[in-house]
Amino acid sequence: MPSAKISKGKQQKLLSDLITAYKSDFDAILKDLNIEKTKTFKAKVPKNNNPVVVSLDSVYRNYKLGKERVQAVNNVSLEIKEGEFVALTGPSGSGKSTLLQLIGGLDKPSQGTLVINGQDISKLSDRKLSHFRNKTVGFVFQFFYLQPFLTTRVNLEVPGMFARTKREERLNRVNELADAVGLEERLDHLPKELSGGQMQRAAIVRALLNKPKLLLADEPTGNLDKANSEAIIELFNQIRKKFGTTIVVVTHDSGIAARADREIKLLDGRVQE
Amino acid sequence: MIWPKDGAKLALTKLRTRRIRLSITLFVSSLLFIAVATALFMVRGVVSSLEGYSKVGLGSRYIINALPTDDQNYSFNKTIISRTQELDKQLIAKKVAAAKRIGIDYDPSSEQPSVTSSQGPNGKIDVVNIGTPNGIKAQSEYIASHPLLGVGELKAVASDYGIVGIYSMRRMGNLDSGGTYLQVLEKGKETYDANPSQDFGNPSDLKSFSTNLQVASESLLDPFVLPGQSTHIQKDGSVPVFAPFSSLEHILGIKSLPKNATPKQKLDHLQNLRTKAADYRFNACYRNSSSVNLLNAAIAQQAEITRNKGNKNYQKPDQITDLPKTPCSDVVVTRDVRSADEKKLALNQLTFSREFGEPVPKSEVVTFRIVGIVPDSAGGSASTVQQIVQSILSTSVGNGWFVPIGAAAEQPILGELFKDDPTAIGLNQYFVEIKSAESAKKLIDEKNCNPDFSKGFDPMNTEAPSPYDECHKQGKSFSLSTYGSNSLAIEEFKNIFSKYFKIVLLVIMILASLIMMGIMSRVIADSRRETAVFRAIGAKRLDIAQIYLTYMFMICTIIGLIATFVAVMIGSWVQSRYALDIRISASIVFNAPDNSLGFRFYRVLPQDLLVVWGVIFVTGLVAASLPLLTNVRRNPIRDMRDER
Repeated sequence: MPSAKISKGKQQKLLSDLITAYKSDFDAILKDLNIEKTKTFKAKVPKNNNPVVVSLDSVYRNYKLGKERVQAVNNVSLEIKEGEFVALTGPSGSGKSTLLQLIGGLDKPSQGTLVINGQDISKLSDRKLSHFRNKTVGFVFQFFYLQPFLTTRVNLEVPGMFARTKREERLNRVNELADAVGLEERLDHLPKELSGGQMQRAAIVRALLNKPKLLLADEPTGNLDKANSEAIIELFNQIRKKFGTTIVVVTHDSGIAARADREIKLLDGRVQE
Repeated sequence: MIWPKDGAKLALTKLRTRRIRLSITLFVSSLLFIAVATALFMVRGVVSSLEGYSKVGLGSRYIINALPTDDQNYSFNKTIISRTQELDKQLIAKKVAAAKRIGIDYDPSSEQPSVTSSQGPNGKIDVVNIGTPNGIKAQSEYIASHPLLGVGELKAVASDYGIVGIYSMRRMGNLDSGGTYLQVLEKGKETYDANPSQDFGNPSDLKSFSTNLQVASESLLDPFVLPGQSTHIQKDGSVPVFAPFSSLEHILGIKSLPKNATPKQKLDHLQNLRTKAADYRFNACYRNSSSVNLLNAAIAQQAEITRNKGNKNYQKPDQITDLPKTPCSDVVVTRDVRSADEKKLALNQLTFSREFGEPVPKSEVVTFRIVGIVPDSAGGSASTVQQIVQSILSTSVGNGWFVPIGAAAEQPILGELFKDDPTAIGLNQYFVEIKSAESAKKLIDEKNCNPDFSKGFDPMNTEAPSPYDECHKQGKSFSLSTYGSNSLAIEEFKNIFSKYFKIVLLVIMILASLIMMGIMSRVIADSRRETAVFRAIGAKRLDIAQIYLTYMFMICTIIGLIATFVAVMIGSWVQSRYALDIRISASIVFNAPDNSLGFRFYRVLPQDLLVVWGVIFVTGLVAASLPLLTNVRRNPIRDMRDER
């Protein structure tokens, strides 16, 4: 199914509007979380002196698989700075997805320190962790995971529902983002009526709804053709540039890795960089 | 917690999954709760209607019929037998002497012995005929020294249970061994029949009026008095009587309604019967045994003459008596060509008979006045809804005609016919009224004599212990049963219903919760990946629980709506189908001039709706809890990985 077209000028204006809204809301989120703001947000391409958003220090993640003990993440230490676009690569079973889930607060490290946006999330309660995932992180999955019985619009609203954002506010945000990614005419359709690229764009909008600081994508193009994959990577770049969002992508695609600011290679749970 | 509207929006998507399974769940669960709601609404309706009716008749009173458990096996009682034989001997000796004195022939062998031999299991055994004068006399003497159980004993048995009153009811006694009768003069005429039917238990047969007439304590009859009627004998001598409903049309000469009469016609007919019955007077003819014997002889003679009309060889009797010229008067001698000797012999014979108990013929008109209507007792098996409800509602003192004891005592003939004879057997019935249903039930439970006949009982062997002996040892001298209304049964029904309803409710809750748990578990299992995604994008465990609880709330709401709607529909259908007929039956049963007393087969009270819906939601909550607790503890990452 062909994606909806939108003029470049219109896209830029919408993105500019979004950035303004994003900045003010982000300040409020930091205040809500009682996190000290270390630096004024700048929607620029990250520089080396940008603050560290993701910091892992000697992180391990072990779990049992049957009778075997698997070392999915093995003594990983790394830092990712604000606005950085990082690609996590490596063969299957190298621990990429586990690492992404640890960063996204979906899993907790067996050992080590995991600080996201200045907060050690390994010590957060389930409730606070849910809040963290809702407000600070946006997830994009390989298989989109849109609710089949809800329209695209309602699907995109869902993170706002969990944030108890007022409906009007949610809808405005959905409309803005949908306009930005060219989905405004597909909002009243069910997911099954969207193309793969549209579904992934919808999933990205859903991830961005609560204006997260960190966008985590697990094989976001793994289920798309080349053209749609390109479009998604371009969209990531635009988001990063316009919103200053830090993006971490797990991928097997060397093309994506090449377009990232940095590629972190994993093998057997260890960083190979 | 997310906004309820958002929770509902997300929960609504679950209703669109597993539709066949969901439909089956809704269908089966709804059926179970339809049963609960229907039972509750209908029992509420029926019980509240019954409570309304219980204020009528004897419905609000707790009266117990107390049947004495005397060993009344007098026919084989050796003391009575030997006394009877002795009396027979004395009588024959007296008769022989009297016959000689009066100058008539008397053959002692023509005398029917009061004691005869009968074949028993162990050979011949003597049996006294309790119906003969000497049998009665010997029995009375025996009872005088061995008193029957009566009011005093009943009072002692029931004293700890809150006695409101002790009442009695009596049938006509055997004044003499002849055929005393009291016949209603239908349309003012006396029916002459040599063998009148004595149709006991059919009060609409006015010829058997005497066998269906009883006297009863005023307290038992008061609830059935028609408006404006007095239960005392009036100046004109008319005796107050309570007529059985089934006799009204007959005695008032009102035609029955056709079977296809409309409900309005039926109600109008009832009203008409009640209006016309009040203060309606009718006469009955009393004849003592001598009068009856003369009448029967005249009837037989007339029949013989009629039969031989035209028979030249037939010789008419020397003395011919014709039937009475006016109702309830004496027979008339129309021909008497007997010789002087024959007349003298007949006179001597009469003197002899009178000396040995034959009364002077007596006939007299007694005027009755209907002052009340007694509903007929429900009898036989109830097969239709109308009959069943009618039998439940039934309140009656019994079948037949009733005269208040006080009024009967004031009227000379009735006073004699119904006199309280402590030695008479089987004529008296006793009743005790208890203050509350609970106490009445307790009295029956604790003091009812329930003899054990399983060990065998030989009525001919008066030496063997009687099955009643054990009862007497335990102070249980009466067989006790509810009487007059089903008020105790209704109380019992309410208690039993309440008890079993709770059990049934629990079973239904368990069944329904298992069924609902099935769909809940399935939907949760189907939605594991979605739950994981929701968790990834920020849903708390409580948010997930809220979505599924909202889903269960929706299912429960659908079940609740179906159950309530269908239960009300069933109730309405039964109401429209049977209510009017039951109302008419109730009017007959209760003799209530107030036709506004309707009968409702169902009633929806807010508290019952609360029970039904509460039970449904509690069931839903129980059904959702287990799968939900298991689900919220699951690892979303693993679920997401597994679902790929």
